[in-house]
This record gives sequence, structure tokens and C-alpha cells, in this order.
Amino acid sequence: MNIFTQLVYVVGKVTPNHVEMLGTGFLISSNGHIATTHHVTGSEGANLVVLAPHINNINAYQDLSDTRCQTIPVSVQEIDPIRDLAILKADINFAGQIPRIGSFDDDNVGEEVGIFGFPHCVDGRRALTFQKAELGAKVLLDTNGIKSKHAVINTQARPGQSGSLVFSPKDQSISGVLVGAWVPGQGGISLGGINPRELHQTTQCVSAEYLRDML
Amino acid sequence: MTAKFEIPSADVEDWLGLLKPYQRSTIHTFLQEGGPEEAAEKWLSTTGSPNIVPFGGSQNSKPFWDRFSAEFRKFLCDDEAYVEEKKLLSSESGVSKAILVSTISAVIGATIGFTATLLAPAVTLLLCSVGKMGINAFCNVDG
Repeated sequence: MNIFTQLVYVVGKVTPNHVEMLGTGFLISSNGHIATTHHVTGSEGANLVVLAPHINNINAYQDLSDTRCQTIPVSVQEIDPIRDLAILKADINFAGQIPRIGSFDDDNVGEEVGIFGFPHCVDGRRALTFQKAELGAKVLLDTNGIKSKHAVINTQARPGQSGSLVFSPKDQSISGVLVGAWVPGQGGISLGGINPRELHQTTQCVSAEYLRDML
Repeated sequence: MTAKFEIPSADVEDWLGLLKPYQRSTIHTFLQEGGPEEAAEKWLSTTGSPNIVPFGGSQNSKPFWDRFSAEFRKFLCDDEAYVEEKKLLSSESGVSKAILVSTISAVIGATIGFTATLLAPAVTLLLCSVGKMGINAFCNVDG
């Protein structure tokens, strides 16, 4: 488990006053390729960074009042707007073992997956968080006539978790990337900044196999 | 008035061969439904499924097809714009399609503030169209 403290990052953007935390990303190569979603990076690509790991032990208490961070500049290497994926490149050389990139093809409905990400980081809260969920369904989602493999995982996600690593304990592989919540037409209302239509346990993740094609 | 460099007239597959397989596969599908310009607009206007609420990002990404296509036209048709960049493209004899795509993507991306890697497939498609009709014809059509 501790390896994930070194693999999963906050993706952010440097502004004149601070680092705006945008979502989650994770290392997929020993020479610094980082996967996340396109909507986390946006289309601009300027001033993007990842925050260097702030803990080595997943059981460490993460001090939420400690706002210090070390930024690592990243450039946008690839964007797949259809699958909402992006690959960033950082000047990182990682000597540890990175899980291989797998696919939801290898996982069965009902099996457990692990999710590593930074829920609420867009609100300034930096806590690497592990969740477990069952894989609830495998679905094909159509975007502009192109169908892509996704999985529904039975957990509720929150802003900041886009780009989270979805891990298959059975295969010890990266199965997918968390992309968001199913809300047809993205409609709804805001109650205190929360859209009730997002509050359900059918979180959508895109299969990691598409990352292989982008490397 | 038009640019002085040449855009080769080549088959669409020659142009798409410049792209990565994941880009090429998507563009092929788009081209089954419409022309190069429509495909380029789809590529630049999409961010995943319209039925998924994203849980991250700045939430202020704006559609930029109009800005991109206007800047592309400016690059090719406005003699006062991008003079130095166009000089580089015209000074090399027989500049390759790959250099055209990478240079124009980078230059337009820097101007409108978008990453070149996202623009490259759209630039490729538009250059393919212009290559077939000729720069003069493209510039004489209202954008």
C-alpha cells in the first residue's frame, strides 16, 4: 500500500498567489509519465504542476493544516478528448515498481477495486485517500459516435477525485481512471455548492487500456 | 494575400499517418460522419462523455473552436501575421508535412493559449483540406 503514496499526486496549477489543486494523477512510467483526465488539466497546459508526495506511509496522519508543498512542473504530452484522458510528463525518475497498465477486461463484476485519489483537493484539502468499492457494471459510453469501455464502481466520488488510480488487487494492475459521476446532460441544481444529482454510488471510470495507446 | 509556403496536396491517409494511432482511430470515425473541418471541430470540442459530471479541473474551459479556426485562417491568409514563423516554413525547401503540423500547432497554441498536442489533429485535418484546394482558394473563401 505504501507504494501508492509515491505514485499518486495532486495535479495543480500555479497561480500568482498559490497552487490551485485541480484533481488527481498517477505515475505510469519510471521516467515521469503521469496519467490524469483531460478535464483536470484543461486545454491550456500552462503552469501545470504535480505536488511531490508528502507522506511515505499510508498510515501516517496527514496534517490538513500544513499547506506547504513542493511543486514539480509538468508538460502535457498527450490528450485524448474522447476518453477524457491526458498524459503529463514530469522530470521524475522512479526506481520502484509501478503496477502495469491493465484493463477492465480483466476484472469481473462484483470484484473489489481500490481507488487512490485526493477527494476535496479542489477545496484546498490534501489527503491521499484510499477507498474500496465493488465493480458494479461494465458499460460502453458513447462520445461523438465512439464507444469506450468504462466501469461503474459502487462508491460515491467527490470533486478532486477525477484522475484517481483505480487498482485491481487481483491482477495487481491499474484497471482504470476515475472520471466522474453519471449525470445525464450534466444538469441539476446547486445546494450550497453541491448538486444532488451527483450524490449517488455509481461513479464512472474509463478503462486504463486507452493509456497504453497514448504512451 | 496569402502565405508564401506550400501545403502539399496529399491523400487524407497520408496526413493522418502523422498522428498517433489513438488520434487516427478517432479521426477516422469522425470522417465517416463528415468532412475534415467537422472532424476537427469535434476533436477540439469534446471532453469525455456529456453525461459525466467531472470531479476536478478549473471548470472554466471554454469552447475554442472559433478562436482556433480564426487563428488558423490568420496564419495562412494574413501577410502581416506570423511573418517570422512563415519565413521559417518557406525558407526550407520541401518542408515536410510533419514540420508544418508541429510548427503551426505550436505557434497557434502559443497564441491562443492551448496545448499544441491537442491542436495537432485539428491542424492536420485543416491542412489536408487546404492542401487540396490551395491556399489562395482557401483564403478567398470567407471564414
